[in-house]
Amino acid sequence: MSENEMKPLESALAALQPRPAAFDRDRLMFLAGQRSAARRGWKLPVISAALASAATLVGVLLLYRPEPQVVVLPDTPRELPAPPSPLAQADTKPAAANYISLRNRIVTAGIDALPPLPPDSSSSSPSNAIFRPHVLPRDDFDIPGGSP
Amino acid sequence: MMGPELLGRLVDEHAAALVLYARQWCAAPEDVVQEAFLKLVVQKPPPEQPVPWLYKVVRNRAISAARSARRRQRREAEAAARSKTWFVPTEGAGLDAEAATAALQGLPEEQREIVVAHLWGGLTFEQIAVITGTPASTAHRWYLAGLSKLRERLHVPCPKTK
Repeated sequence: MSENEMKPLESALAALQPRPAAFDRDRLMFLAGQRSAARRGWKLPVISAALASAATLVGVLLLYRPEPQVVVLPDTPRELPAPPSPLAQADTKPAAANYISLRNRIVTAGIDALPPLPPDSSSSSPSNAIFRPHVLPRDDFDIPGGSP
Repeated sequence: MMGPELLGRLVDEHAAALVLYARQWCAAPEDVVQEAFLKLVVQKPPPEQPVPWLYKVVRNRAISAARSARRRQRREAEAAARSKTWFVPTEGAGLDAEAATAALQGLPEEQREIVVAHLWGGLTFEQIAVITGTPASTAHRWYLAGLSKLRERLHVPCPKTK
């Protein structure tokens, strides 16, 4: 049987109106809105609750935070500088004694009391060049009116 | 999410046909259709084709409700389902509503479902195939078979024999 032969029957059947739905349309729309609203926002309340809990926790921690304590330490004796090594003492004491005795001799006997200069070893030890200006030979003094 | 305008339009245009579709299986088709609409509202994202989606949901729920009802009160549910006329009573020319209801109820379930979904639901055979899980060609063949039986039961003459 072809479809064209069924067209009048199809038209006649389609002309029949199904019985209208027996539910309340307004109530259905209300329930739909209720469900969509209930479904919509579950993320935002969860985030809000989490942030509120965190803020409360921080507030409680700030409220009960322990006061900063001042720790008073007992005075400890200052550490004395380390005594010089015996070797250094051995080097400095004779030098100081020699200097004083040399000074006394110069004061009493004049500049001629100075001992002769050690041989110039600047070529072998460059560190002596540093001390050279301080230990000038007597011949370098240009004394006005003195011997040329 | 579906807006109230579209939902209202779907209710106005398809609620009656959906109730007719659900009435094939269960005694409380309005409840099934209402639940289907409420389920549609909360779909995220909403279905691309809401009408076939509604038919599929109504079908599943109606069959499920029919099974539950059968377990509890089989005879009462069937009697309630058959007592109502499925169509608005007609006056004058046209098919008789009660006769059409009786003729539809006498069809095999698979044929009746396809006839209702295509004639009053406006679904294509491809959409019906998706809903029922049968090939579209099978759905079309069952539709023609159902129409043929309806024609016999309603005594509608074939155009060639006029």
